[in-house]
Amino acid sequence: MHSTGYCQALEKAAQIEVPPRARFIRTIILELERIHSHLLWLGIAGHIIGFDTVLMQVWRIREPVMWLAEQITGNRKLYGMNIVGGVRRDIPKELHPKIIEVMDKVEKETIAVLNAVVDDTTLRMRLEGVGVVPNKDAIALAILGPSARGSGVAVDVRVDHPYAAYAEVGVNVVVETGEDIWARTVVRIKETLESVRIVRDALAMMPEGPIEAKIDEPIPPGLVACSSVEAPRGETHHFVITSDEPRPYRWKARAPTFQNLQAVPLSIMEETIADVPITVGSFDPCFSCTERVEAVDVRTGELKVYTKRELEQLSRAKTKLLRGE
Amino acid sequence: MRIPQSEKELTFWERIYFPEVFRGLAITAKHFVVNMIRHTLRLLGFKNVPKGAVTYQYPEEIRPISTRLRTMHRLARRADGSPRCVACMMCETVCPASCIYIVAGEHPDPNIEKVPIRFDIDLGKCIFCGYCVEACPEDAIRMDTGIYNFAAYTREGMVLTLEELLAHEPAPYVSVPTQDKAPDPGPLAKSQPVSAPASA
Ligand code: SF4
Ligand code: SF4
Repeated sequence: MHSTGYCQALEKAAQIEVPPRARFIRTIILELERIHSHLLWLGIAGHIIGFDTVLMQVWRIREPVMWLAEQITGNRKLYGMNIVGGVRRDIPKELHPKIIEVMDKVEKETIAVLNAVVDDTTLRMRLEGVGVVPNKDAIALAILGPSARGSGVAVDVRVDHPYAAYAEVGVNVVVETGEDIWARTVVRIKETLESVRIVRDALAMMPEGPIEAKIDEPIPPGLVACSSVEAPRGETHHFVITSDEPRPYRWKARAPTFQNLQAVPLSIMEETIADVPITVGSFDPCFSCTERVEAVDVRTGELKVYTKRELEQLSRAKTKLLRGE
Repeated sequence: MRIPQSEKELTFWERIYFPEVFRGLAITAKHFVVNMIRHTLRLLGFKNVPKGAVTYQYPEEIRPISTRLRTMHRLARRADGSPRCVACMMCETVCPASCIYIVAGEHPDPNIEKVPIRFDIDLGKCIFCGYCVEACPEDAIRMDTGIYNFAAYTREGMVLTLEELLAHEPAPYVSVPTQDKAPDPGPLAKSQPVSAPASA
């Protein structure tokens, strides 16, 4: 998903045309990622509120999606599927029935989960009316992805600025107006079903052809571009300035959690402590995407930038210290 | 800010509680009995019976892995057993985790320019992206050993050395067919022209 964002930014900068088949493969991979990410979240949400049956069952549903990703891309996660100008691996014909089979199974079981969850009074009592982000605050704080769509804001990059093959397959944006955790939960489950549909349609519509563009010349320096991708958590932006080296001069990624966390103080206000974990969790936060550290020497007030090697040594020294070596 | 709940009206049968309890117990018992029978039948050798549990009994039972799965690295050998790698440093340069360390030396054969005398891969840092495999102009480094269960007590234990890399054999894949890569020609085959795995 981030690699798609980065590649798209470079393709935009250098005006590289991505072959249609590659765009469809990217779409399928992005949606597989969304399916497993939403199911992962649902399981964790169940775990946070002490409903571990949800965790076990939902992760059971999720596992075949991971295996499918392994068969297509060579890894369960960190697919390494994108290159600038296309994708690295094709989805061969033999895998199509397998993908359809997994999708059918995921759809059937997700519908079962949706029905079970909707009928469950315990879950609704825990989640309804908790962690409310009113519609106008959601717009004011510019929160993104399923968190915004649960508050009735229909933002979705896949529709607003279509990329990959989303213009062709189309996306029905799932919007709920409940503004609470329950609404965000329902948005995610319904989006899983929508993703299943997109994978199926993309697979059926996938044209034949090359999977990567021919790039003969090195990408010229000084080009600037920005691209957006709808990640499972919300929109991700990638900004690139090219250089005359084989690496970008500057690259910046903005992950959605940075924006979504702004809604946390508002939503946990006047809540009981017991509801705080699920409220924070309901935004599907990725803290590693959000952590930013600035090292300032307090004696001189100077900013220090650590190199990779220094950071590595620091963390190893810390481990040694903790182990008492 | 909790807003009042709309509770679902319970039916008479749900309200007297006991039928629901027994219904729940019956579901649990059904799963138990069905899975028990399946486990027993499979144990007795009926392999067509569906699995009793969705989990795999690792490490006794190994999940079939995909042929595309990126697993532990290996270095392909020439016919005489020397590494096919020419120490061109392409993989070391491309590696996003900078976990490959190569020291180049002269090859006795004048037709072959160089040979690695040290080739370490720090698996503790490797992110299994497979870029090294793609970058290699000699098709010398590959990630098809099928080994993914490695662990060590020390950081040093996670470093793969040249000897270990050369000793690894490709996995005898039997699972799903893919078009990912042509079957490994083995150490005896001459080095072929590079083909990107994607277009193979
Ligand atoms: S798989 Fe990726 S991280 Fe690991 S050695 Fe190869 S290039 Fe480096
Ligand atoms: S890219 Fe291939 S030939 Fe070059 S150093 Fe790495 S393994 Fe050896």
